[in-house]
Amino acid sequence: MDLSTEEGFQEAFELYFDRVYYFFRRQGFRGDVSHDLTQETFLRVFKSRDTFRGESRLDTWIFQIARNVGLNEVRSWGTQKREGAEVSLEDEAGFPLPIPDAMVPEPLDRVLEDERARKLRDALNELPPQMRRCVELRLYQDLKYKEIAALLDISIDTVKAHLFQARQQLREKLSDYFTDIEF
Amino acid sequence: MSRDKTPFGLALRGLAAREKGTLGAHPSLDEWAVYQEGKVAAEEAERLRDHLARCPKCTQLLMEWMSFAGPVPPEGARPIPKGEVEAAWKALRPQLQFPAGESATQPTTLVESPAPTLELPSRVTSAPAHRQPAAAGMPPRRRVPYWLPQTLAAVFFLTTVGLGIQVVKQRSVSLEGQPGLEAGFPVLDLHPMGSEERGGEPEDGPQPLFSDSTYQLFLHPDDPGSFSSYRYVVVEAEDPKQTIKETESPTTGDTFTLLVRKDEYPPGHYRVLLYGVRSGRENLIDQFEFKVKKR
Repeated sequence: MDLSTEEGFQEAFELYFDRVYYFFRRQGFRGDVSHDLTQETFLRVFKSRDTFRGESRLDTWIFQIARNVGLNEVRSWGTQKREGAEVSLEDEAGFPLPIPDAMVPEPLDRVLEDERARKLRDALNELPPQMRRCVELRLYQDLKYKEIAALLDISIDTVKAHLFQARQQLREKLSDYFTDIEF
Repeated sequence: MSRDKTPFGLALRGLAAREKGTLGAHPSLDEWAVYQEGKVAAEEAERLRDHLARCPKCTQLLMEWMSFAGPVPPEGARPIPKGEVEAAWKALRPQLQFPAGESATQPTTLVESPAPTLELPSRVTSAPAHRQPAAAGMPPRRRVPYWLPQTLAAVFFLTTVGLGIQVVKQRSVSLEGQPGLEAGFPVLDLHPMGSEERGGEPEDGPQPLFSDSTYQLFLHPDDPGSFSSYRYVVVEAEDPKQTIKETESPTTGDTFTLLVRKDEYPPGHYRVLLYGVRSGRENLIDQFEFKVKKR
């Protein structure tokens, strides 16, 4: 698909218009806003089409542009409402994980904390890989069963079973360190 | 106590923070796309899943990609009519400048087109040639059954009696030759409240009636191109403190596109305030008004 020609660009527009539109709808934008953002996305695709060398996929490239358009739209709302400083992409992605001051251990407790962390990592590593990933996605990232299942391409029932078994195993292995293993 | 705040939850989060630097390079979006399609080798899939489990950033990216690559339309949503996609293309096309000789059509060519089926008042004038949408290169019309025009006309009459949009106070309005009428997506060209009328009593404008639920308004500022972006605010004309909608858009040419959905605007009288943004400061550059009539 040659984006430098009108025919090629129109073909891409018609192929991806609804996909971009529904991407914005799924992100929670209203219909008319999604329509505006879709137009904006293709305008940006057009303006930067010279930078697309075909080394990456066209759909992922358009997606990345749409993603930025959506983020900018959300930012513009914050700017218009004068609600404070801009939020960085890193923060919006939820990474790095914030650790409140109250959670930072005192220096004297750090040795014990290191020990618990090491035991925790060891216990996690002893779980079967797929079970461990379910635990990590559930606990590190606070995802829902459905989301974990989609990301790992397994059924929701499998996720539930993995988490149940992992809970039992971690309780056994870490009972000296944690008494509150719930997830 | 939520699981995040238990000692176990805190330890897990602390562990995640400690191990942040051990993740290695993030896979590219293309890699995630291939993974999501189930087209990677088993070993590679394991590596990607291991990364995913400990990388919120990639998890977020992959979830958004899955949202993008998901079924279209989503379950329960209506498919976008082909006519709307065509209308969107025609709205976008004037803002695209392809190198000379590579254009399949000649979008800036003014082509005489038959008047729309709507009966327009006498004040309606044609838009300038450079604002006319592409007409050349359009696919030929298909033959339709002989009864279809009459049926459509009857439906059109019945629906437009109750509902419409009334555009007032603008210097000129053009519907002739606009793409939306063919595509089922009405397009109005709104020009600023004329400098002659500005500050004085506006004249009543034309009152085109439509049956569709969405209108696309092209706002033509008097002074395009001198601002980094536009911001528009739709307020009730009788009570400008009542903001109905607002948004901002980069300047992309000499028009600003505004979509008006019937269900967002109950019958009433609305004013569009268009601001030009330059160096973070907003300047009111134009005003447009329209009315949505009662059913």
